[in-house]
Amino acid sequence: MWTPDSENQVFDAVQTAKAQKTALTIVGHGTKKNYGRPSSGAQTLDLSGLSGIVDYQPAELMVTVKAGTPLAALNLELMSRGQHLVFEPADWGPVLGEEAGGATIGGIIAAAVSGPRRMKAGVARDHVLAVRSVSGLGIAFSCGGKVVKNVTGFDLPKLLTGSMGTLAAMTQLTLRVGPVPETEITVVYQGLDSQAATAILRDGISSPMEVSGAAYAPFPTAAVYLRLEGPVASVSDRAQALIREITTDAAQSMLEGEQSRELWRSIRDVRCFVGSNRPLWRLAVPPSRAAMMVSTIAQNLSCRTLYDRAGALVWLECDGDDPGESWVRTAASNVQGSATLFRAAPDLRTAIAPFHPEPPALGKLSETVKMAFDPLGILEPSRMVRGR
Amino acid sequence: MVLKAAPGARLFLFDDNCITAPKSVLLRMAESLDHIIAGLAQICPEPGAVIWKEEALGVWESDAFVLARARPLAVALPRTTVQVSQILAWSHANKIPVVPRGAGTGLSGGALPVTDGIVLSLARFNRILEIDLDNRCAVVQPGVTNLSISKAVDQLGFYYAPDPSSQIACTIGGNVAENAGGIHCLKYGVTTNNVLGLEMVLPDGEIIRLGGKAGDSDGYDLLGAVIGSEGLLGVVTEATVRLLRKPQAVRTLMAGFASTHKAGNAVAAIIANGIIPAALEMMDNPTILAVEAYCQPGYPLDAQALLIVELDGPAAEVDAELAAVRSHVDAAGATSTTIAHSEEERRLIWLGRRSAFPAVGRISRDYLCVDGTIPRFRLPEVLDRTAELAAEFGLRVANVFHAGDGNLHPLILFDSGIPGDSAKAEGLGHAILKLCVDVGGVLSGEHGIGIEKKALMTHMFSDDDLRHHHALKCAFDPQAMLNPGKVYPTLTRCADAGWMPVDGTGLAFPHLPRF
Ligand SMILES: Cc1cc2nc3c(=O)[nH]c(=O)nc-3n(C[C@H](O)[C@H](O)[C@H](O)COP(=O)(O)OP(=O)(O)OC[C@H]3O[C@@H](n4cnc5c(N)ncnc54)[C@H](O)[C@@H]3O)c2cc1C
Repeated sequence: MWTPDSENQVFDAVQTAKAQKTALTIVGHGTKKNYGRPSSGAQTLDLSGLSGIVDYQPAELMVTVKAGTPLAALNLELMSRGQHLVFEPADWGPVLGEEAGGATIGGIIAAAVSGPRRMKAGVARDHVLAVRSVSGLGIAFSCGGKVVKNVTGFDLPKLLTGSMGTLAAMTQLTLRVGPVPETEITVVYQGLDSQAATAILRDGISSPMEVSGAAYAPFPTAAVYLRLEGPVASVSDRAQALIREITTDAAQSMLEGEQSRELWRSIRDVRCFVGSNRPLWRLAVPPSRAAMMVSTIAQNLSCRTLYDRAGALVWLECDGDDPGESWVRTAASNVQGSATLFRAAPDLRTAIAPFHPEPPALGKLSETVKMAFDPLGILEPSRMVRGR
Repeated sequence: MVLKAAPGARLFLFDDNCITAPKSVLLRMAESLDHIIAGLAQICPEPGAVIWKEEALGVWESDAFVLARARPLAVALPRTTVQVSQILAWSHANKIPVVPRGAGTGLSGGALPVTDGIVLSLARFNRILEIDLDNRCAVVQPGVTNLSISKAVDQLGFYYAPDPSSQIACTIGGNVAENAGGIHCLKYGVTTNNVLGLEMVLPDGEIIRLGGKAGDSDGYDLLGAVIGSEGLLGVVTEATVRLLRKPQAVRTLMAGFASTHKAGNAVAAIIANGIIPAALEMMDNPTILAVEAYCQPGYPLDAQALLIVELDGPAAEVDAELAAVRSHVDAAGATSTTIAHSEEERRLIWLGRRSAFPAVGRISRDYLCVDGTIPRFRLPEVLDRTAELAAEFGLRVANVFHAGDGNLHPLILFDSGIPGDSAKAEGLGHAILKLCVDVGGVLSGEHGIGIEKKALMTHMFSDDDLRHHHALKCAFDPQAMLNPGKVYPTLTRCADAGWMPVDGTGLAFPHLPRF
């Protein structure tokens, strides 16, 4: 077990792994060890000792932070200056059977964890400006730049975001930050079926009112949620305008301030599926096809769903222990979507590819990329795809 | 058919890998040129789809980085993805380098041909394939111009956000390759934040899809890695781009300041107070004077710096923000403040900004447009140092920049008619870019590296850093057949002197506003 507290020590660990040809499991606080394929490293590289904010310039809207810094600590520091991570990273701990609030920022970026603000603010990859890391080549390197606008060579920070530690062990990240909105209101429409709900989601985020969250929870009581954030002066005006714009017979109400914030935290963290260990899928779909895809799956598989990001993201929990892989994957593929087996017992996540299988040409290319950054396969081999 | 270097081509400036082909290669090529033309014509039998005649190749010799020219063996203009795939597979098998090309408006020489290779033009990929408002996106071919997407959805109340000032001419394929920016990128992001998916042909002819309407897919973010890769990793044959609903309200304010420092403070105050304007632009006094003389937008001539702030969004919010911006600007000591009260007044304010490049072109025979990004808070010091450097080199500089994101465009004024002036300008440009890196910035904010700045890459990146860039390149293009010699310095250090001297006659795309 390696517990480095400097980049040099991370370098030593990777060098040693390289010399001994032993694979490394890379962890922050381990809250996502039940996500993806089970890690198979012979040694653990624990990066939680690399903790702390290196440079925070609120006026520059950016922060440089060591990879093992707890997300909660980073959030607190940003909050004290009225700022936050605009991509609103979720806390996946509880839904994956771990404690809440445990994630490190490195793990968030390595797993590309984002939140409901996607339509307005993008996802994790849109907020990673620069990375320092040690690649599987055993070389420490920097990529990206500490500015928001940059076309200087390949955008490697994007490649590392979401790569689950399979290309490089990230030691330091420079992230964009932004102002916390003064307040927020959520417009709620109740009692809609999925077709009607998708139409409201679409109309909501196509409106010029700058909707920053759009979700549909079919249960416990079916409701569509549209979030508006901004200055106090504008938010209630916009909520009224939005209500006027959207034509529906559904009963409508509003949540304000902390009530609204709490609602979006629970959508973000998929709290409706916390507490069970039944298979949970995470589907990326063209929003207009979400309801259709879900109804196709539901014909063969008893399940419950939560639609986030206007339907571009569907969480689907199976009622039984069978993840129904072929139903889910076929339905997702048929609408040009993809299906991640987000939560399942380790043996299932070994037998079934948790990440949506890539078409052969793309799979070959991804494999070549892995080989280029980690030719010996010492960084989290088979964590994303078996044998790679 | 005679095979020789194009007249005026400064082959000696660049390294092997870039444009000079060794004699032996040229001879081999001459022998096989007929074979090459026949091969391309077989794949693309349509009339005019293969260009090879000496007199017709001239227009393909450079992009908007006009300093460098090179004549390709031939130009292919395929119409389908299958044809692109066949061309790449065929040139891969025959070891013929390929340079992809959009509209050729690139400012860093990214589409500069190689003399022993072919140019693959995407000009015939000019159709908008689908407008899908349910999913707020459009599927377009790469040769579609940036502006035509916004035009196609304008009546429907939508637009495509990244707006480079070359937008009436540049293509989406070129935008993807250069990760193009624009004036409204501060709030809405650059190309990479607005492209959902791509169809791409790999250098060996394999066709792949990255991302799509669904957005975030599993696996490595190769979509993110490909955008901004300057045509080095694959040829884009289709793009799915995000469409945004047009804002309900737009408000524009301009403010004059007695110094660039004060204007810089206003920028910092606006951002630090949680306002992200749609656009936040600045220009210095030499530019203000040139612009006012050129198109009379009514700029304050006594101001040492002019700030233009545009806010957009829901009307109620924009009005509140405008009041806040106004007070920050006043607190920072603005000497004049004008708020546009009509669409015409707004148009005038922007006309001045959009005319900055041609206006500067009026007061100087030539100028070089430098493109670098710095951390915002270093702005005053970088401007001071730029002025000092300019004095050392004995040249004048006019500054225009996207102040909100720290993207500078110093315009170096010189006269190519004066012996030694071009070299001085070039030296000053390099010095300014190194300064950008030294204060924690980068070599390019939006124009890319191309051949123009590749020699400076080692100033920003260590060999260890660059090894990982090469690793990615090798994964996509192990034979280095696609756009060879661009972006990265090769083993033989590149002596390239890449700058864009523009005079009235040689101006590339003179009808376009320059930012
Ligand atoms: C007057 C003027 C103003 C400008 N203003 C701006 C501005 O405000 N912001 C900004 O960002 N840029 C600006 N530019 C630069 C330029 O317009 C952009 O870089 C643009 O994205 C280039 O597009 P293009 O179609 O002309 O590409 P080209 O110049 O033809 O090619 C650029 C690069 O892209 C590659 N390429 C082209 N098409 C493809 C494809 N389909 N697949 C793979 N690779 C491809 C080429 O190989 C080359 O490396 C300006 C240029 C001019 C002349």
